[in-house]
Amino acid sequence: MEITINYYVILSCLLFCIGALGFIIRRNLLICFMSIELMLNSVNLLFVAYAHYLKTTLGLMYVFFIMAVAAAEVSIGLAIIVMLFRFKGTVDMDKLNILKG
Amino acid sequence: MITNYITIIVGIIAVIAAISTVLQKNPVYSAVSLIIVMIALAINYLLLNAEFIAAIQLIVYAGAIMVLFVFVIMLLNLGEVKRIKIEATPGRIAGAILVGLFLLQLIITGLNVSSQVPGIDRFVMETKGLDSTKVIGYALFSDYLLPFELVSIVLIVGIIGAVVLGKKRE
Repeated sequence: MEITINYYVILSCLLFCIGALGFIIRRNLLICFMSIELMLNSVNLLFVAYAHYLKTTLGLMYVFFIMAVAAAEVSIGLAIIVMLFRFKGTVDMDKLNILKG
Repeated sequence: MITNYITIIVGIIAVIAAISTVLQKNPVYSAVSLIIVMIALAINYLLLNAEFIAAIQLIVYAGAIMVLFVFVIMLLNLGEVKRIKIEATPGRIAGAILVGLFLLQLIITGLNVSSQVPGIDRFVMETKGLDSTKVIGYALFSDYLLPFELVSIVLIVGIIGAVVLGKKRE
């Protein structure tokens, strides 16, 4: 038995879709944010797997940059969530409709 | 081959922990499940000969980002939701169906792409002479110098933005 690239493709797709589903069905803003992190991680896994099987390090560079941008994104996003909680007193996405036209 | 079994077990753990992340009632349990996913992925990176990425995954994701999440959950003092209200609104049903179709499409496309690359389905474990940390270091400071500097600007903007947004205003 040997592990092929197909194993990583399927695992990555599963993780990505679990993240997307979590973003759709959950209303807690923090858990939606965690779902986004899950999707980013699944993409990273695919990059690393392809970098290994194609014997190149280009994929590893992309993972490095994705992680740096994800760190910046999380710091900004959590600051916005804290500000929203102070402003509205909730993190329920259905109640945050101040931008609704 | 014991590494093959480890790979599969770690993959199963990652999927179960991901489902747990999405379905937990308490946000703290969600965060812990997400940490398990990230550790499982770090083990996968190690098995894929990407030691540097595995270390960065543990330090940045499991260490810094998730600590930030847990800290914010603590700060907001969120209680447990009574029940996960998944009302079957039409939009949500349509979204779930779309995600299912998307999963199917992703898997089909991914397998199709990977079958078109010659020799990719052979698992080759030996990567002697390819020290990934060293190669990444050389590439970062030669070919990717400009993106590297741009990423540092992004991080500075992130820090300043967090400070400005978190400041108490009257």
